[in-house]
Amino acid sequence: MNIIVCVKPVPDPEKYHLLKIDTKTKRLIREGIPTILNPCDRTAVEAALQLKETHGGKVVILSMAPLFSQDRIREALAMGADEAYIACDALFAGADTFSTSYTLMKAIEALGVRFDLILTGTESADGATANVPTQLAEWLSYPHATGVSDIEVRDGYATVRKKIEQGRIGYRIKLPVLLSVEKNAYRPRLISAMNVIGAGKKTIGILTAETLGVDECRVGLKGSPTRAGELIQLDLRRAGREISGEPEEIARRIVDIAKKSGVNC
Amino acid sequence: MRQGFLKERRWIVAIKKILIYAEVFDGVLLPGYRELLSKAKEIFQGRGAVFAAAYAGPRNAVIAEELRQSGIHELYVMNSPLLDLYHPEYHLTALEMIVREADPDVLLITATRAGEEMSAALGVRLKTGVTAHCADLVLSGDGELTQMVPAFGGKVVGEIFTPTTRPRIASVKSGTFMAADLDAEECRETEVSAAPLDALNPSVEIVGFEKRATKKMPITAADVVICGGYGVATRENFRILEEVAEQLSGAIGGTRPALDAGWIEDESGMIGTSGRTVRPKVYIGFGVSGAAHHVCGIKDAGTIISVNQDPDAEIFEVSDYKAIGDARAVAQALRAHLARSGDETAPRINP
Ligand SMILES: Cc1cc2nc3c(=O)[nH]c(=O)nc-3n(C[C@H](O)[C@H](O)[C@H](O)COP(=O)(O)OP(=O)(O)OC[C@H]3O[C@@H](n4cnc5c(N)ncnc54)[C@H](O)[C@@H]3O)c2cc1C
Repeated sequence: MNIIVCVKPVPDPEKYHLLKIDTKTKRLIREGIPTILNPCDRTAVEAALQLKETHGGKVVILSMAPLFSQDRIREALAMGADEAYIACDALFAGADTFSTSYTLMKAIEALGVRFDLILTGTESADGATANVPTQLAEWLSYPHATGVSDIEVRDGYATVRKKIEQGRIGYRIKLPVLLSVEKNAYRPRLISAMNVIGAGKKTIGILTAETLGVDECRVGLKGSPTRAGELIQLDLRRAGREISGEPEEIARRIVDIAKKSGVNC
Repeated sequence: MRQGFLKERRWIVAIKKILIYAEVFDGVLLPGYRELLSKAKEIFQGRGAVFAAAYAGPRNAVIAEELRQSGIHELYVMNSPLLDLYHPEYHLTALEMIVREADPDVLLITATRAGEEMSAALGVRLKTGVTAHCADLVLSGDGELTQMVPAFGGKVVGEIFTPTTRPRIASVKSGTFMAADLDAEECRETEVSAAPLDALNPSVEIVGFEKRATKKMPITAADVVICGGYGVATRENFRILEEVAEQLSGAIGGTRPALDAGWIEDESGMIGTSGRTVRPKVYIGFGVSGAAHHVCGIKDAGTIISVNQDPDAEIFEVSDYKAIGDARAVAQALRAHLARSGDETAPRINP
């Protein structure tokens, strides 16, 4: 069974408090924030590796990402994936989810392999739209299910459980299918030093706009139906008046404040 | 920069029709519909815009009437027994057919697990832009829809436009806007044929559904929300917070680490960008550090009180009141205090 996992390098979400907006240029200053492999995507890689262990085949990693983030993609190889490709071209810059998913579709087609499963994380930590998985499935005319756990494959079908607000729906879906994997559904394996050395030896394939034969009107900023305007940093500061004293005193004050704020207690 | 961009764009027709997807579960209209309609009316009312609703589900006279009375001018329905439990192919095709029929300039969808999928997929089907999880919708000076989206966990908010394609598709999490009381309008109804569903030959089959056990008070509806963060440290301590929430007739919620630790059941109890937005009269957080992802979900709370042992905790900057102290100790004192005052107000039996 061939599985492709789409991943994305993102600025480390634990460091977002360091983000600032340049008051003059209105651009985001990301200095001091390292790039990591999107946390949700590790879960998807793990799911793929477990399925490979049961069913055989290969696990391929794909990312539309700048060249400098190659080492992050390599982490997925170190986890045990077989091959990795980066779709990378100046023409891809400024893409929204529409043109990103189009580009990923072209990349998957260009690899010339029939993938039974396309796996992704639920969302990226930076934009967090959760659009790309479903949009990629649409470009490929594959069925999809997002936020799934308990993936089982048998006789050309995948069964999954999809979380919705009211519970979990069980789906049985004909392969090939695109699935985005629920955040805590699989525990990503740890990477050993040996794995890192092994992954370091593998080459990462680079896919350019030319190799993919993309329609230039569909990629990058030009292919994006949405446009970004200004960035605004919200000012959420409040007074921060201190309640001091022993816990009993603090408790009494909290109840007083709650009453004053209109709560019956 | 932005001015330049607006000048540059090719003009497309002004916003005349807004279609809102009315998601129904188990015969109940989900609240996101009224929230979106209220917001849409707030920004487009008086501009001659037509407000419309889309319903795709089993035939349901009660829901249809509820929608007709909700303040819309047009109702589009596709009735089919295939549209009961959310099905990624049937529901998507149904909404696609309705949108093609209604031909709106703006399509608003509540960002439920189903709505998120449908909005994204429709963007590709209709070759138009999708803006996910808008924190606000406003009109720019020239009448264009400006979709305000949080990025980087809500640390920043960016304006997003869909300048040249239509409909502009926006998804919004339930609880982001407040539902207003809207007067009914004269409403025209269109039934869209469900024949495309029967012709679909789907790849997806529904093989089961496990309903989640209905739990206590939802955090989005409570006047008081108690939130436990990782600093609460143990399940036992978290229980104390649950009891305090109960004493205050409020709801208990948590941060992401509280969810990961299993102290709260699922995302419906998590507060923040990946969970729920809450707007209680009072929010009391214990052992919460104040990450952007979390703060984004409490910014509209009336009064924010935080208990944290770290005097430099970031949460204090966005709090009205801060108590520097141990979460467990304050929670226990609060429980004891409320138990006592509860006794005082209880009716006395003659000695
Ligand atoms: C894509 C993405 C989405 C996310 N979405 C959400 C979301 O929706 N909601 C959310 O909450 N998080 C979310 N997160 C996680 C978020 O970034 C933070 O990691 C999280 O909010 C931190 O939770 P916390 O404050 O409970 O824990 P911590 O950051 O670990 O903070 C614990 C706090 O407790 C204090 N403390 C420790 N011991 C005590 C004590 N004895 N008494 C009092 N105080 C004590 C500490 O001083 C500290 O401030 C998301 C992350 C990502 C990457």
